[in-house]
Amino acid sequence: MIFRASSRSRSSAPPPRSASAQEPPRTDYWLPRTIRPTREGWWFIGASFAVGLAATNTGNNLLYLLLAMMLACMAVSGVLSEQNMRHLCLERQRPRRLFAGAPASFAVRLTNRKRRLPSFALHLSEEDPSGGPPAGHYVLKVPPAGREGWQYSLTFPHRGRQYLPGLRILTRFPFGLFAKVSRPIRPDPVLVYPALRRLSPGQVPAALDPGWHERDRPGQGASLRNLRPYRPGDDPRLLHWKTSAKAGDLMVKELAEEDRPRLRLLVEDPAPGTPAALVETNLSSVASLAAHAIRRGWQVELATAEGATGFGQGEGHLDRILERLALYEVPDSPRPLGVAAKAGRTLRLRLDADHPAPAAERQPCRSRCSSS
Amino acid sequence: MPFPLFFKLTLYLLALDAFGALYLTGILDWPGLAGVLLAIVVSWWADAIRVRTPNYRRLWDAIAAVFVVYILLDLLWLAESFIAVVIHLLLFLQVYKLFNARSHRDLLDLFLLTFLQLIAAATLTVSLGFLLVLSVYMILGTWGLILLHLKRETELALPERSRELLAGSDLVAPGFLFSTVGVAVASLLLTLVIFFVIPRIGRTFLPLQARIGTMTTGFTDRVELGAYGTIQNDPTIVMRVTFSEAVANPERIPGLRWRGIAFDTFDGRAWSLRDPVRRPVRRGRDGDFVVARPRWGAPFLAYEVFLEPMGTEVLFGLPRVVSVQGRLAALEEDAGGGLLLRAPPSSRLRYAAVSQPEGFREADLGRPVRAADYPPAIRQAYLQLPEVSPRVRALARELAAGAATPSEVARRVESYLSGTLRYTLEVRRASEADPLEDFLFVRKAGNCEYFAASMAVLLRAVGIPARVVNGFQRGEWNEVGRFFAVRQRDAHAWVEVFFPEVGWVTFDPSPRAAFEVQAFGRSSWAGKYFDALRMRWNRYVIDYNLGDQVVLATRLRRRSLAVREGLGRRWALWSFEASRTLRRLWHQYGTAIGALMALLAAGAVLLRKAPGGELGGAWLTRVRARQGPVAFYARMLRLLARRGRPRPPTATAREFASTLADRPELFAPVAELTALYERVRFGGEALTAAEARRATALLQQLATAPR
Repeated sequence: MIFRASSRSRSSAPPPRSASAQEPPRTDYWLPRTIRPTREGWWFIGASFAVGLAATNTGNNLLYLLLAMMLACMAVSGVLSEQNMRHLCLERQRPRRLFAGAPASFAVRLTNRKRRLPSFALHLSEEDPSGGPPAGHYVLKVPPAGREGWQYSLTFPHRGRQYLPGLRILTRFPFGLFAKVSRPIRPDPVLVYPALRRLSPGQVPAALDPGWHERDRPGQGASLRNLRPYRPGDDPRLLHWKTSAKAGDLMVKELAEEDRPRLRLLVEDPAPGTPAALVETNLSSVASLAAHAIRRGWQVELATAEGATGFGQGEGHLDRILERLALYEVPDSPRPLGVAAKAGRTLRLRLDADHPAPAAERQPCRSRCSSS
Repeated sequence: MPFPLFFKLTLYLLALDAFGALYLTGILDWPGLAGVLLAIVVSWWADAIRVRTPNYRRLWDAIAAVFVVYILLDLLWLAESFIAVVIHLLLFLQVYKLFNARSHRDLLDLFLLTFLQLIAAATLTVSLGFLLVLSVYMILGTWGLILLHLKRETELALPERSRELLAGSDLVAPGFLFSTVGVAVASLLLTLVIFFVIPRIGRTFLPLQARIGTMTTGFTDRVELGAYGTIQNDPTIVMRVTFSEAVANPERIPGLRWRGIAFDTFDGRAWSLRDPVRRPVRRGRDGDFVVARPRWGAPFLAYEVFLEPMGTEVLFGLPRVVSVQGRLAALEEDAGGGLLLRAPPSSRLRYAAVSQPEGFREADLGRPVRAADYPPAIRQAYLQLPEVSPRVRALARELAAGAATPSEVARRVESYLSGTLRYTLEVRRASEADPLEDFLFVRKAGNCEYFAASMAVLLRAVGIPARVVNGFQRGEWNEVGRFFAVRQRDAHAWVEVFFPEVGWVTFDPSPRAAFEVQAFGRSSWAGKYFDALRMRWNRYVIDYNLGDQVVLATRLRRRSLAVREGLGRRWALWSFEASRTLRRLWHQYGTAIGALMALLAAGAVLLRKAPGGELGGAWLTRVRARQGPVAFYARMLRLLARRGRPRPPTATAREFASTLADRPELFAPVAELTALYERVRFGGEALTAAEARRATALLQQLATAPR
C-alpha cells in the first residue's frame, strides 16, 4: 500500500518558513503492516492446536488432514489479506489552514492500483487528536484501478507544530481470522494556528476603523475619481461605454489612488506564572485581530520579542503572522520588545492580560490618516 | 443471484456436505438420516414458519428440552458409543441453529458445527468419499466464510446501507466465485503439502482408528462340505497387495495364492485343525516377526498387504512367508503354518511381508518315497482319514496304480479332478451319499472346497500326506495402481502335499480360472481407476506414517540429487555446444549479429517502460502525446460524421451530444465519451487503462450501431 499526502496549501500558499519546511518533499512509501488474530482467529488457533493434539495422540490421518486444512486456511488467509492490502494508494488532502479547536476537514482518496484484483472490506480510520472518537470509513469493495473518496474532520486542541495521528487501513479479509493493519512509518507534520474567532463590532478596537484612505490623485483604487478621454496605453477594461457613446469619443474611468493603513501588533511576553489557557486565549485574540485587519485591507505587522514579520497584506502575510503565533513559545521571563518605531498605528497586546483589549498607541501617520 | 440467497444456499450446501461426511461413517440409521435431512430441507423456510407459528421460540425451547432428555438416554443406554452421542448432539444443534439463525454469531456457529461434524466423521471413517467431502467443504467453506465475513463487516459498519451495498457490489459475480474456487484449490494443494510434511510420531498414545463394520466373508476358517446353495459372487475387495519395486512384473508371477490357514483333520464333512495350540512368532532385531528361516538360494518376494477387516484373525501371505512387518501387537503361528493375530482387527490392517515362493526341482519331487521317509509327526497328522467310501478308495488306488513317485500320483489326481469334474458355484445335493462321494461320482461338479478336499482324501488314501489350505486366489491385477485387488469371490481352497525332500508343495485341482473369466468377467477401466484411487487414498492418506515420511524424504533427496546431477551434466553439455555454435556463428555472421544486437539495444532503449507509463517508452509516449490525449474523441467525431452527424463548429461537446438525443443507440455512448473527453480535456487527467478500454468499447459500439 502506498501512502501519499498532499495539501491544498501547497499551491496556494507559500511554504512555511519553519524547520519542517526544510524537510524533503514527501514521496510515496510502503506502509508496514502488522497482523494480529481477531477473537475468532484466537479460537481458530486454539482449535487447530486441539485438532493437532488429537491427531498426534490418535495417529488418525484424517485428523492430520483436517489439521493441515486449518493450517492451510491460515496461510491462505495471510496471503489473501496481504494481497488485499497491496497496491493500495492513499492520498490525503489537508485543509489549507488548521486552527486550534476548530474541526478541520480532510479528504482522502483510496486508489486500488491492482490491475485485476479488487480489494474488499477495508476500514480507514484516523484518531482524533482531540481525544474524540476516531474518524472511520468502511469500504466494501474497491474494484481494480478503482477509487474511493472519503471526507472527515479532525480537531486539533492546541496550536503549534503537531503531527497527524496517521491514517490506518485495517482489513480482516478474507475470513475474519486475522486483522491486518497498516501504520504510517513517518508521521505527517502539520502546523496548527491559534484559534481564530470572528470579532464582533464591539471587540474591534477603535483604532482599526476606518481602514481605507483615499488620496486625491489617480491610482488603482476602487473609487471613481474622474472620466477622461482615452489615451493609448489605457486599460481597455476601464472604457466607459455609455459616456463614450454620448461624447462620440472613447472615454475611460480614472480611479482614485487608495492607501492602505498600517497596523503594528506588539505582543508582549506574559509574566511568569501566567496560566497557559490565558496565554492561548490572548494569542487567539491577536490572531483574530490580525485576520480582521488584513481582511479589511490593512497592512499588518506582528512584532514579538522573537522578531517582527514586517508589514504586509493579503492571505499570504496572514499565514506568516499566524505561523509566528502558532510557533510562539512562552519564555521563562518576559523579553524586551526590540522594535523600532515606524509609521502607522500600534496595538500593544499583553499576553498575560485578563482582557486582551489592546491599548492603542497612536503614532503619527506617514500620510493622511483620518484618525491620527 | 441475489447475495442473501447465494449466501443461504452456500450455507445449506455446506451443512449438507458435513452431513454427507457423517453419512460416510455409517453410524446413522436410515430413519435418522432421513429425519435430519428432512429437517435441514424444511429449515430453508424457517423464516416463513417463524412468522406463521405462534410461540415459535417456546416451541423450540420445548423441543430442546425433549432432546436433552433424549441425549441423556442416548448417553446411558441407546448409543453404541460416545462418539455417536456427540454426533447426535451436533446434528440437533445444527438443525436448531438452522431454524433459529438470526445473528452473525448464529451463522458462525453453523460454520463451526459443520466443521465439528467433519472432525467427528474423520474419527469414524476411512472412506475415499471423505476426500470428496473435504474438497467440496473447502470450496463451499471458502465461499461461505468470505461471504459471511463481508456480510458481517458491512452490516456492522453500515447497518442502514448494507443491503444496498451487498446487492450492488457484484460479489456473487462469476469472477468472484471463480477466484474463490481458485483460492480453495490452492488451499487444498497446500493442505496436501502440509499433510505430508507434518511430522508424525511413531507411537500413538490413544490409537483411534476408524471402525469398519465386520463383513461377511467368502473366506472361512473351516472347510465344510455338504452346505448347499448358491455361493454369492461378492465383488467386495478384501485385500490389496502391492509388490516392491524390485519385482518388475508382479502380474506375470505364476500361481500366486494368498495362503491363510491349513487343515489337517477331516471328519467326512468338514476340515479342521486338530491341534489348536498356537506358537508366538518372535520378533527379530529390527522389530520384524521372523516366521521362518530363509532358504538358501531361493528368491525373495517383498510385498505389502492392505487387509480389510473380515472378522478373522488370519493374515494372508504368499507361501512361504519368511517375515512380517507392521503395527501388529503380536503374531502367532498355528500347527498348519497359518499366521494369526490374537483377535480379528476392527480396522484396516497394513503389513509388509517377505516370502520365498516354493522353489524345487522336479528331480527332487521325482524320487521314490517310502512310507518310512515321512516324519512321524507328518504321518500322524496328515494321513488321517475318516470312514471313507470304498468307491473313493478304489478311485484313489486306480489313479495311483503304476505311479512310481508320490508326485506322479499327485499330478494324476490333480489332472483327473480338474479334467473330469466341473467347477460350479451352485452346489446341489444329487444323492444321499456322503458329500465327497456325491461330488466325485454323482454330481461331478462342485466348488474349490470339494476339489481340494477330494484331492487331499484321495492322496491320503494311498498314503501321501496332504492337507487342505484356505486362502485367496491372486486377485485381479490393477494396471493403474499396480496392485492386486483380491475380492471376496477370490476365496479359494487348494491342497498342499508333503514331500520329504522338499516340504509342502502346492497343488490346485480346481478348474477355476476358465470358469471365472466366464462367470465374473473383468473389471472396467473406470472401476480400476477408481479402485487405484481408493488404494492410493488408503496407502498415502489413511495409512501414512512416520516410516512413509522417512521414505518420502529419502526419495525426495535422492531425486533432487539426481536432478541436480542431471542438470549439471546437461548444462555442461549444453554450454559446450552453445559456445562452439556461438563461435562458429560469430565467425560466419559476426557483423550481422552485431548490427542486430545494436538494433535490439536501440529498440530496448526506445521501448523501455516509462516510469508511470502504461506501455512503451518515452518515444511511444511522445507519439501518443502528438496524437493527443483526446484522440478517442476525434475518432468519435469522425465516426459520427461518416454517419451524417457532423459536429457543428459552433456547438460545444455537450451541446453536440445533446443533439443526438433522438438516436438513443448513439446518444448513450456519445454522452459517456463526451464525459470522458471533458475530464481529459479540461480536467488535465489522463485516461486510466480501464477507461481507455471502455472508450475503445464505446467506439466499437458506435461503429457497429445501426445507421
